[in-house]
Amino acid sequence: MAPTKHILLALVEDKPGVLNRMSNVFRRRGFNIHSVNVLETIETEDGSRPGLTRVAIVVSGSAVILGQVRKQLEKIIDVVKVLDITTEDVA
Amino acid sequence: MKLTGAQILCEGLVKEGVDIIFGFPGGAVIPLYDTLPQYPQLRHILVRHEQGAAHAADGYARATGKVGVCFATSGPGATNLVTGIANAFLDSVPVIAVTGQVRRDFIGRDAFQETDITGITLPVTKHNYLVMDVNDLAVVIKQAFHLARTGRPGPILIDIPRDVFLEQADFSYPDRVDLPGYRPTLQGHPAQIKKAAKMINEARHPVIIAGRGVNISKAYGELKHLAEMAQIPVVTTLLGIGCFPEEHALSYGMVGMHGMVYANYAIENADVLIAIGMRFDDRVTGKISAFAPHAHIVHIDIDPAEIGKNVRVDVPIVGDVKMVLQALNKQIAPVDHLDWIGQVDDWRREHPSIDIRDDDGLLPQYVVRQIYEITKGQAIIVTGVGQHQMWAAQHYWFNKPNTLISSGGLGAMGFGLPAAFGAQIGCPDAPVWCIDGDGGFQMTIQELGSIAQEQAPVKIAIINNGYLGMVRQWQQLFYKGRYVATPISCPDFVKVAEGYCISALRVKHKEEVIPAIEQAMAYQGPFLIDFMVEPEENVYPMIPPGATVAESIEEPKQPIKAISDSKRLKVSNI
Ligand SMILES: Cc1cc2nc3c(=O)[nH]c(=O)nc-3n(C[C@H](O)[C@H](O)[C@H](O)COP(=O)(O)OP(=O)(O)OC[C@H]3O[C@@H](n4cnc5c(N)ncnc54)[C@H](O)[C@@H]3O)c2cc1C
Ligand SMILES: Cc1ncc(C[n+]2csc(CCOP(=O)(O)OP(=O)(O)O)c2C)c(N)n1
Ligand SMILES: [Mg+2]
Repeated sequence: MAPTKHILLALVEDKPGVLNRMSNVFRRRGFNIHSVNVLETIETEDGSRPGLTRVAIVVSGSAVILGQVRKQLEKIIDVVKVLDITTEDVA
Repeated sequence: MKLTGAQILCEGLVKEGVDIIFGFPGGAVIPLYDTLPQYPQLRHILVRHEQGAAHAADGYARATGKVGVCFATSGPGATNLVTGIANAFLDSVPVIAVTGQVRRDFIGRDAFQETDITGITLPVTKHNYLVMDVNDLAVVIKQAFHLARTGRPGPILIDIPRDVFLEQADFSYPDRVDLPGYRPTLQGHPAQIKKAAKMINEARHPVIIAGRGVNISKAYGELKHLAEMAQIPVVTTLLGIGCFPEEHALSYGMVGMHGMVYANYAIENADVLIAIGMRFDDRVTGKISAFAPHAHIVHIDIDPAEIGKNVRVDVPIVGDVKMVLQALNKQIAPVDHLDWIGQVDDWRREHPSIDIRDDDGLLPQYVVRQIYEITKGQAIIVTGVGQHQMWAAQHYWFNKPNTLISSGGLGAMGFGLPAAFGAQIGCPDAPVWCIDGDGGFQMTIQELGSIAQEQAPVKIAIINNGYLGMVRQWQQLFYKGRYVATPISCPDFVKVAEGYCISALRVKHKEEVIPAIEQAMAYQGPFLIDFMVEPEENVYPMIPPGATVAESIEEPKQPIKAISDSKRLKVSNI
């Protein structure tokens, strides 16, 4: 399957090292990341716990492999959710 | 109540039910070790190398089902743990590794014995922590144990700077964890379970392939119920061995590269394959495109990332094996598959796979079989990696779960002795046998010292073939017999054992095997037997790498004759 550009949007805990953990999943497979954007952290109302951060990653790869990568990203304990928004509308 | 970081760690360990720690001290953890005497509930066991501590914690965890714990100092202590941590990661073993780190103000400055151990272990831990604030420590410990033992288990590393051990904080242990990114799915999706049930009920040639997830989930009863009710032949992976009694009429042994020919035929001819808590390792599937070519596949696994990773799956069910099978079994109609079972039995007769040929020489398979006979199949067998590992899996029959402890995913030589030590510490009354190769044994031989110090009654059988046998076998079969770097000399293992005050024997002839094993069993403490087996014996059956079941190599009628004993490398002639 031909590689296509994908945009992954991850919701992650605002903790040190989380970007490193994520980029590792790509590095291990020899993927080149086109761009990473870290969006502003959403703080919890009472500040009782670290907030959540959104990370947008643009990579190229086949849909099958990226499906795997997405699941492996979601396995990272500090990662709450990952969406492939390439074709999805972002609300 | 204010406690030091070291006390908080110990309190946490006690709260989590830990009673054994395998470790090795050093500068960064002296404050921790200095605190241990305040906690007599925590028994610290000194190893001889930190790799041994990690493997011992791993063997302990597999044998007991509890979390294994190991300690190491910063720098070289921490890096020495890495192989053991990777091993636990690949085989999903719950292990907590606590490492000391240099003082916080020294971190990042290449300080003495500073290594970035959280960076190094990031890809081989389920999760890891660098604790920069003593106030976080209790929460970290709580989370670490929760992560290690729930979901798909795995190793967790906690790196604690020396000054954090010394600093004080108010201590209260959390009673719950707050991990928004970690919510393992336990209940399988009802619609998927229904689909699976329909598929199984309609199957004519169903096969169950059971893996280590069944052991982790303790779903032995549910698995047995499913197999018996629907009359489904059960095969297992290496790490699934024992989750279904191997003497059961529906048990057809291990599959894969060195699995039973009939087990592999069963998979090749199955119309429905029910894969339970196993991850389709390439040693299991061989050539993927030829794996289970006629089967619809149901895959039950707790880790969504395993589904569809290696093989196409028709009915994926994410969930805990026990819970999924409980729901599934309710929808299974009792049937008989006598024709199909008869067919698999025919294959078993035609390809016996585990018959040991009648030979006057000392065959390694015979040694394993005699250990089985004399221990009545009740021992915990811990292996190294190589030919002896496969013979142990093939020729000992495991009827109880978690009684074969082996490094599967990493295949780490050197695992055997320390893991057997850990298993014995965890199960002091069980007979524990370490079946190791002469090569791998030399990688962690120093743990004889730990065994002697603790007087752990481990029985050690060295399958001494004078070779890195598994690699030699590949050289023989696929590299025209060029034995490059595989002949290996060894010290006099009997003398080495005796140097550690461990009783030992050498066995050179077939007729000495039974008395030697009996003597070891009767002996109260640790005991080593050096079995000088046929040097060029091969492991069969074998599906060559990347090949299909049809290309299986079975034991030749005339075994390739072994070299004479005098050709063995001896220390004296190198
Ligand atoms: C020299 C050598 C030769 C080998 N030859 C063979 C061979 O011939 N045949 C063979 O089978 N193996 C062989 N192996 C072992 C092989 O490499 C793999 O380690 C093994 O097949 C993995 O078995 P597994 O998938 O059951 O276990 P694991 O790798 O431990 O996987 C367990 C799976 O169960 C899941 N799981 C965990 N807990 C649960 C739960 N509660 N509920 C649901 N799912 C859960 C996990 O997510 C994981 O996917 C060999 C190894 C070596 C070193
Ligand atoms: C640490 C490590 N290094 C290398 C290997 C590759 N390897 C796999 S099996 C094997 C031979 C093992 O020899 P031995 O322990 O004597 O066991 P045998 O195969 O002879 O029974 C080797 C070198 C490995 N699995 N682990
Ligand atoms: Mg050997």
